[in-house]
Amino acid sequence: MNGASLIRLNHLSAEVRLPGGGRLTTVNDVSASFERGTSTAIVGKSGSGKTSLASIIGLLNADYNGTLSYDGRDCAAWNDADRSRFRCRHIGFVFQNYSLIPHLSAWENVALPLQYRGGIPMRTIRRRAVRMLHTVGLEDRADSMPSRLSGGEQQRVAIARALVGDPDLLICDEPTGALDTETGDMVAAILFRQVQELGVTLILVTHDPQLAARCERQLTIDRGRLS
Amino acid sequence: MIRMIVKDLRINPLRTGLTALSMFIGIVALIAGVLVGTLGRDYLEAVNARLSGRTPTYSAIIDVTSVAGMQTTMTLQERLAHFEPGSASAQYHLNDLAIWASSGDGGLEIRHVAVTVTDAERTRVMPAPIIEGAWLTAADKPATLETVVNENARQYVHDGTITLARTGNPQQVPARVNGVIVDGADEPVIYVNAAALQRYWPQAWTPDGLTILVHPDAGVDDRHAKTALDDLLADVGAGSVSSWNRSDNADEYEQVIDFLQLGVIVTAMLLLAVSAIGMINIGLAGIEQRSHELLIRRALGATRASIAAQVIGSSVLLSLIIALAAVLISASLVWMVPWMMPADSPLEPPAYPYTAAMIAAGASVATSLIGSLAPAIKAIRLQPALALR
Repeated sequence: MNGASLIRLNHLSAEVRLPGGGRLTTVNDVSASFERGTSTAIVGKSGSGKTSLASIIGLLNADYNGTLSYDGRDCAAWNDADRSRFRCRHIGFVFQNYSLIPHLSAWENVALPLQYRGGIPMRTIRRRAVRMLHTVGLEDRADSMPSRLSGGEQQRVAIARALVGDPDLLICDEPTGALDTETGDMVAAILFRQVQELGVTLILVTHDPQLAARCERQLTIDRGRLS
Repeated sequence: MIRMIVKDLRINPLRTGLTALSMFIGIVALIAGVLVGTLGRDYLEAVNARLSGRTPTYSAIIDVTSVAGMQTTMTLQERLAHFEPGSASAQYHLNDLAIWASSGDGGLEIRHVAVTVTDAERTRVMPAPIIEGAWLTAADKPATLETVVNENARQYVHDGTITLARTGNPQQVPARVNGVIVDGADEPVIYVNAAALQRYWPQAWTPDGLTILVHPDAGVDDRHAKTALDDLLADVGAGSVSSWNRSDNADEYEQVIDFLQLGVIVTAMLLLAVSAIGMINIGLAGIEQRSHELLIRRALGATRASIAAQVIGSSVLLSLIIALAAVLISASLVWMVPWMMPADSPLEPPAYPYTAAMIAAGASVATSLIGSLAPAIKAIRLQPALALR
């Protein structure tokens, strides 16, 4: 932990429009900051607003009120392309259900963030992707298609994909939710080890108290409010 | 990006194959439409050219002063052979010429078949494929009385000769048959070399009229051709043009051909439109199937532009590959046409319609571009926030 604030949320609120025409507040006046190199768990029940908050922090949703800033820069003025470029360079995502692209091999999935960054030769991209697969213990499965990998292996590929671009922030949404306990523990161990070694800021969205307990800080969200 | 686009084409080979097939059919239909129209026009022109001359052909009836003298005829033939504004061929009116043919009881009788006394230039105005032997030789060349017959007159040829006759005259004059042509006529026709007839059977040379067929070169005005012919006749002292009429029938079928060609092209354009609608449909269904993948790509940093480029790019790349394949295959087929045509076909081997091919390929790329716009718009409207859901 180096103490420098990477992300600041200031009175952040968001709503979604319901099919019936009403509005549901998903994030309600949230203020928080996330220090560089720290791990934070956002916990809460289903429908409490965990994923909504994560999608705003991850610049996937720009439809909010309040202020979100990265390294002191207000993100409100950024357009969609700016947000995409920022995500590509500074944010890694690990999704609940692996979310690997089925027609791409393991290394091609890992390579995607580098490809979207542009200007990197394909040979370099492949080398970096295979090296990242090596760090999660899957270098021998680089050419395997996702359908040939187990759930644990797929999630390790997803972790490699999230970390291959050396992000500042890693957002994991229920990273062990679809795995059995043993495999989930193994994946979590890899995740925390990598985060610690690379000094990445981790935001972990989970309803698993044991997984949340491994983080340095826990924020509980209920009906959109942090407590 | 190219790598991603190529990967996209391989996601669903059946879908890619069917899309490619619909594009291929559209392009080939457009090329075939133009080609069929062109070949149809060429065929009608060729058939018409056999019977009434190339398009356009003018028939000049000459008010004859003197074509009885050998020198005048020779000079006229030489001048017509070098007629500058186009091609010109003389046809002398010798109405009492006939042939000797078997009477059925072992004897011979005079048979009144069509005998055309003409020159070597005739095939330049009224082309007819030679299926055997050769056409008449030039005015100063014939070493004997020579003829050419059409297929229907072949029955009168014995040992390479045909026996000419004059009405009411017992004389039998053998004439060499140079060759057999397909002139499109339903009846027997015998073409006699005028210069040879005048030289080797002068008793039969009693022309009572002269028609000159003129096919002006492309871009030459027919009035200019008529004036040139008048000047030529005046120089030779063979009379003057008393009547000048267009004798080919191209006007009658050109409108029909234009209409048919337009119909085929419109049909081909409709096929391309159906292909575009199919592509939009397939594209939208594909985006529906791949929405989660595209959301993941957006979350990982793909901009809207790169998603649009990926969707449109794969469609355009496919259309370029198919356009190239369609042009190569259709060019090969057109190249093979001469080998498939019968020897007596009135058609010249067709030229490949490069302009139509370029238009078809362009239309295919434009179709794929238009056809992929709706799926691309749908793809870029996906909200990346849904990636976490």
